[in-house]
Amino acid sequence: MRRASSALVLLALTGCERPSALVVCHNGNCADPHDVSRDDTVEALRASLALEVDGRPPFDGVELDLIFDDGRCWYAHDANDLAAGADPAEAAALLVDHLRANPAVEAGERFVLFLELKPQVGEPDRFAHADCALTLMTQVRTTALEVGYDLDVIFDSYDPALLGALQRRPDRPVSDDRTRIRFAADFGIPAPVGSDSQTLDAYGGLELDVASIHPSWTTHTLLRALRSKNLDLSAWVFDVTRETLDVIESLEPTYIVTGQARLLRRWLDD
Amino acid sequence: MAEPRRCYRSPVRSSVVLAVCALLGASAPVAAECDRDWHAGVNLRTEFGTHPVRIDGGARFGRLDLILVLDPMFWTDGAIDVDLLATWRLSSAGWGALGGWRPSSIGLDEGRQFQHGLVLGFVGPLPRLGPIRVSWGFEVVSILVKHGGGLPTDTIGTDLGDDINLGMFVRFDHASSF
Repeated sequence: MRRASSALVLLALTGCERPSALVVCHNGNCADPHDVSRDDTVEALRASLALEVDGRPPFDGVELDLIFDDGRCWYAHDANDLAAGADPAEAAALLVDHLRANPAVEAGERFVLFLELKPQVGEPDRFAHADCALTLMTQVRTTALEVGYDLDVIFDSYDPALLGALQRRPDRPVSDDRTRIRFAADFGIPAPVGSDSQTLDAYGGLELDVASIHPSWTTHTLLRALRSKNLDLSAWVFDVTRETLDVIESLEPTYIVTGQARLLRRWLDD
Repeated sequence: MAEPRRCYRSPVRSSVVLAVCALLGASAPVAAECDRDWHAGVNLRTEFGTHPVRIDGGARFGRLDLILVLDPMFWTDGAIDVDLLATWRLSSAGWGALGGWRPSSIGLDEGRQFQHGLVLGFVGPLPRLGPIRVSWGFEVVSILVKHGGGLPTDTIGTDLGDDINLGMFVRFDHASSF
């Protein structure tokens, strides 16, 4: 009895269980030491996929950026630095190898493929951009299902027109009993500090399943509206501090997209 | 020696205001109770209960201060957070209770969603910056109802962090007697 009471007191003092969230390796770059200049590079992706915590990958999925520029699709982070980028097929091949080397250990285990379609500059070719994302998805999806994973494929963008280009295709991807096809609107750092974010009503007429947010940059008014629309939250967590961990506990996001996958995995599993 | 400023210029108005003060249960010295001023300034915060920079203005009648807070940052994300507040001074040092209504709205694909929050808290003075009056406030905001935007109406939520939020703000304002 006394032991049970002590356990209750300890629980009250230490808080509740950690939230359950799927950890996603941000920009295919979550190896230590974290260097953002290596975001969306093949080298960083290779190093990240080699990470382990207790013999398993520390993340449940990977986020990759896709840029379409001058008639060509790139796995890259910055349209002004495409020399650091690569053919998306290279990234897909690395993911396929990773999945084969790390098959699901239990039924229902989920792998997350987060594909960010970067807003295009110049003359847009959104259909080709969407094609590129679908090709990458198909390559990874086949293997993920083969090795026992259920799959979340999330197409996300700051540009509603790019999500529209995916959703309005006659061959748009659809969910099945093992694959969830999801669409995410990105709400980054708001103006005047940031310049990418659109307002929520800019995504009108689109199907949305997920909202990607910076937890420490999102007003309560927007958060409540996202909750009202029953959108899952995906939280970008770049700097792991006491404040960001508090926010994760408060928001309970479905996905945590981070460059510090090992740290977040250990914290979530603690 | 300059004559002390009279609180009320008209005996009739003075009587009325004194009566109001008495009805309101004022207990501090009458001269302090019945000072009146208008004020305008900025309302700043670092957490995201509202946009971080808002403009406030209002009028103080003795212990009672009526404040309207407007949101010039509506263009950043399509959300607007407005406050209609009243503070009631409880001590001669300037500490007071805060209460009011925070109607927020945000554009969704089928119109705007409105979120109505009850604001409760307290305010206190900080050292003046020359002619600028500085005050600090702590608030608890509870969302009472959300409606519009083509979504079902939600009433009183109890999720800490979603429907009930804690916040602090600092106000810098300039006041002028009237």
